[in-house]
Amino acid sequence: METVAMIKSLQDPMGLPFYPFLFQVLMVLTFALHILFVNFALGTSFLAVYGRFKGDPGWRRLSPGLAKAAPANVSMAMLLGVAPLLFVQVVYDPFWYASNLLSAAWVIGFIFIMMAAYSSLYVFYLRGKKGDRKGWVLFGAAAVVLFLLAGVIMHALGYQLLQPEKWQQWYMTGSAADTSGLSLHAFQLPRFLHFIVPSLALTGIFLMLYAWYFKDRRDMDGGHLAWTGATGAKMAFLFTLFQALIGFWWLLSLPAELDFLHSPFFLAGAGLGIGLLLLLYAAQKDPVKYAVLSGFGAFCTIFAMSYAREALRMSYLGRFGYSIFDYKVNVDWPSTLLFLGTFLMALLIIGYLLTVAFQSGRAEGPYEAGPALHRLGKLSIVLLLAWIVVVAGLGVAISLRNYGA
Amino acid sequence: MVVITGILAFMVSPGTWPKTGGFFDGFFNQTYWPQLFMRTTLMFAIAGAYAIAVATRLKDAGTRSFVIKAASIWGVAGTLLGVALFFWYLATLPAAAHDLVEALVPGSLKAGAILAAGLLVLYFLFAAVKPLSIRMVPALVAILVVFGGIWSAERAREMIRKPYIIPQYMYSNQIIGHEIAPKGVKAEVPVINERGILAFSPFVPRELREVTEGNVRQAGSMIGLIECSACHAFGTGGLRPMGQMVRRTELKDADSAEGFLSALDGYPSMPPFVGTAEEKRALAVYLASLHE
Repeated sequence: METVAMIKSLQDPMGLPFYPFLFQVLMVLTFALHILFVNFALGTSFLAVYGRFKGDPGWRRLSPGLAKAAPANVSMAMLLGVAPLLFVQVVYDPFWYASNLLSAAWVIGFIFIMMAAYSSLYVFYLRGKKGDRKGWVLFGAAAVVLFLLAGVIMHALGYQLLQPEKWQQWYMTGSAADTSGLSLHAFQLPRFLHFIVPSLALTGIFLMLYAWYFKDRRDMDGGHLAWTGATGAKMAFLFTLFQALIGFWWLLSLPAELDFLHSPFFLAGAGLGIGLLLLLYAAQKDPVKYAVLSGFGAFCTIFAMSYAREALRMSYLGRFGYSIFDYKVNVDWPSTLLFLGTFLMALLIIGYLLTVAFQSGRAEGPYEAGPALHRLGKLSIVLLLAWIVVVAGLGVAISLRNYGA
Repeated sequence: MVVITGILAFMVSPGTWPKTGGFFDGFFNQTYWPQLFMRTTLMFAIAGAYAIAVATRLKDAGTRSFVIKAASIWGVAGTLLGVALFFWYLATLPAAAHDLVEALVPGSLKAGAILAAGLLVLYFLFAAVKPLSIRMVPALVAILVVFGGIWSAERAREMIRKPYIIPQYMYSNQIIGHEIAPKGVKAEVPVINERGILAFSPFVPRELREVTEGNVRQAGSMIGLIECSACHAFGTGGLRPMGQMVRRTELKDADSAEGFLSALDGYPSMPPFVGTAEEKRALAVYLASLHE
């Protein structure tokens, strides 16, 4: 079967429940958020371990805080990873499905690798709190290595997906099918590094934000905070520069026929990346003042780069005449409205929870939310109840219509 | 709970969805409400078991007694109501699923669910009467019993979906058995029976697209991969391995294997064989070769 026909036959015959553009935007947006926390998770775990080994007093002091932040970053990364995983299955199902089957053992192994990594990270953090025995650092180091391995798996799955012309040769030896799923078939070093190196740049910005967040807390050591902010700013600048170099290496290693250099998505991403580099250069003077702007700039860059990655995928798969915009559409308003309504409501409720967490961390001593925030809290509860009433009411009405006497 | 129940309900019974294509018609099918209430009440029982385990660590005897008593009342009420609602749920299941409960669900799973519910009721009652006698280890064992019950019941629920992924639509091997007119989806079975499964499926190498004299067994093996491997492991280990099933059903030669494949048309828990007559023969030859 020709590659094009093979891909077509793997699509969902039912089509998409809404126009592909919506899925694409949400996929890229949630991927950008996901990869941000993947980078925070990798960076904070690595630096927590590094800080333990390094004799420097600033690092020794920072290490426990990073070890505490790391598991939270990992759980955010996992939580935010679900959404892009589901969206990619909606619009790129033939590719994601095939790539997963080709390396099925690694896909299942990924779950256990993440569980092992997460547990070791917790052992490292909890034991580290109790005393300063060096042996426990090994758990932190093991977590970092396992996270990198998880990254290798996800990278391979995402990269195998782009090469449907090779699937059959990976899967068949003569006329015998290899159904073991034990191999990872494709790896591209610059592409992999481009997802990993930003960990240190973004964790640098994370440290700048840390210094900014606690700047008004008089019970915290101002000198240490200033050191943290300055170290973060230095790291952020250096590794963003390094990241740009790797980006060009990747760009040069792409198939020339894709002509990615002239893609407007790439140009936007690269332009923002250079802007971020200049911003971080300026931030060296006053990391705390530039922290929020740097964080915002970094997220814009990641979002644009994530869209560039999607545009690259579109040109890779365009070689086979595949476009998500040709996908059969069977618009299903009820499920789409349920999804969007729930999504918007959740944003508001999560916004409330985040605001409470944000304010309470900044307060010295016991924290009391203001009246406006209290009203938002009450609104959150009312919304949740209203959601249940509306959905259950809909259910009752539909059940009566379909099964009523 | 409101959302996940709709998804789980759809997996066993799609309601009027195959006719209307309406999302909520599938979501709020006839098994939705009993299942929603059953899962909700059982949730309280599960929470009760956990709360007791946590409470055994409390230092103050008065608080411990109070918490364990309260948790056990939620526990016993949740379990009993859940069991009662289970019978309502059972009554709403489609006829095909009922037949599978009788024919396919092993006694051990039924016993597992009944035993877990019975033991938990006794445990909660005992905890309500003598709260301070519950220690940490028995409380953790009770949680294991909870998991045993959940495992038995959910495993049985997965079994009664057979032979479909989505009942009245897609078989477990992802071949579309019936059309969904409102979505413009046609059944694949007639097309495959005419053109052949090897020509229809992706990933089939060129030399196996057609059954020839020289490739019968290999083509048969490929057909088996496409149509059977969703449920049957191809090696010697794993779930329901092919070789073991062939020996158990005594498919000693290609004729008896072919007879078995033809009989699948009326078999409750496996999808029918789809493909041309030559392909059926090839698969039969392959299956018979596993008998040795």
